[in-house]
Amino acid sequence: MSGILVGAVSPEVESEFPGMGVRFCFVAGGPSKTPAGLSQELDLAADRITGAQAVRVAAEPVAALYRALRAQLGMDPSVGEGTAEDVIRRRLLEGGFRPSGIPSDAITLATLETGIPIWAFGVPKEPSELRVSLWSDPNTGVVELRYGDLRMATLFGEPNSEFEVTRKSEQMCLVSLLAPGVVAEIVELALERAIDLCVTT
Amino acid sequence: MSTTFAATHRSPSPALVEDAILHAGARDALKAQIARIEAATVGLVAEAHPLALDLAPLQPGPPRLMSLGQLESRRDALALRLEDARAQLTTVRSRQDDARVQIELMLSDPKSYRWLRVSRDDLGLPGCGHWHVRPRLGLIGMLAGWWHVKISSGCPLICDSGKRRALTVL
Repeated sequence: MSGILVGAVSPEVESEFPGMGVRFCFVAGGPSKTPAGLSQELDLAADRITGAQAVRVAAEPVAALYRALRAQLGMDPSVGEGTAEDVIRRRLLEGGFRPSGIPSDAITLATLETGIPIWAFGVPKEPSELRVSLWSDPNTGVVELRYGDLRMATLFGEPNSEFEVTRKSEQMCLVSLLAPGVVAEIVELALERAIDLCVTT
Repeated sequence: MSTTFAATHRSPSPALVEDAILHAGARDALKAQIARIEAATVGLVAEAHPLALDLAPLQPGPPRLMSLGQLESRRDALALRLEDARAQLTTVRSRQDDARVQIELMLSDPKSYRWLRVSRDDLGLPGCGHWHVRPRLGLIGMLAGWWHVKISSGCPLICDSGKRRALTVL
């Protein structure tokens, strides 16, 4: 699939979780205002979400695989930045999806539609594009996303301050995680959808 | 597309490597158990809806590759949570069964259950209706011993948002 790159996975993570992977892509520019069309789509999506759905979403096949992964990684499975459950929980707490700009809204909609978590990072333009990798700290075993040698974020966590998407960001890097058992094509489709929504502003 | 890891990659701690090699089978089994227990817990929570099960939060921590011991303790914590969820659901179901039996008794002999009220919530049903043992014709029925079960259909203001919106538009 065009524009979507495969990230590296450290041997320890690979041996512990065969099939786990990272997909990422670059989107030129920084954040922007949410277009009216996307706002409407988010409103419609918000109207379709009910309390029952919020409970059921955790049992859906794709979400269940990510939950299982979080449990196997020692996290509370209910906690995780950017997951479908997180998006729906936000909708219930706020009573809707308040427009918060691109890429945040694009990611929210893509995650709602596919159940795949996507994270956005602000990255500098490098002469040769660096790769995103899934790495485990050799001392603590903490699994994190890296951009080249730099730590972008702990997996399922907030981005490090230097990788936050700000007006100064030269480009954005959308990253998604392939949990064991999840079909790679769904993850790539989710990223493609997020790119489309980011670009058609 | 195959990728190799960067040359800057440092070796993991020997303890983790040893643990991974020696106990690979056990680790896989524990991870499978964790996934199964978690799925079962989520299934129970979904089954219990609209009732919210009060599950103890797990110890928060960053996502990490866990040692065999850590995996075991995580599995045990999740298993305890599952057991707790099952116990809560069983308690709720037995309470709902009791409420059903109570309604049958109220219907068969209202006089013995004067003023007793069982709500739809007690049965795990949506809405705010209830079964209430009341005297027929108010005070007269009370003095004469004419008791019956009155079934309330619930609050008329509750309707789904679509209908409400349609009414607003009209």
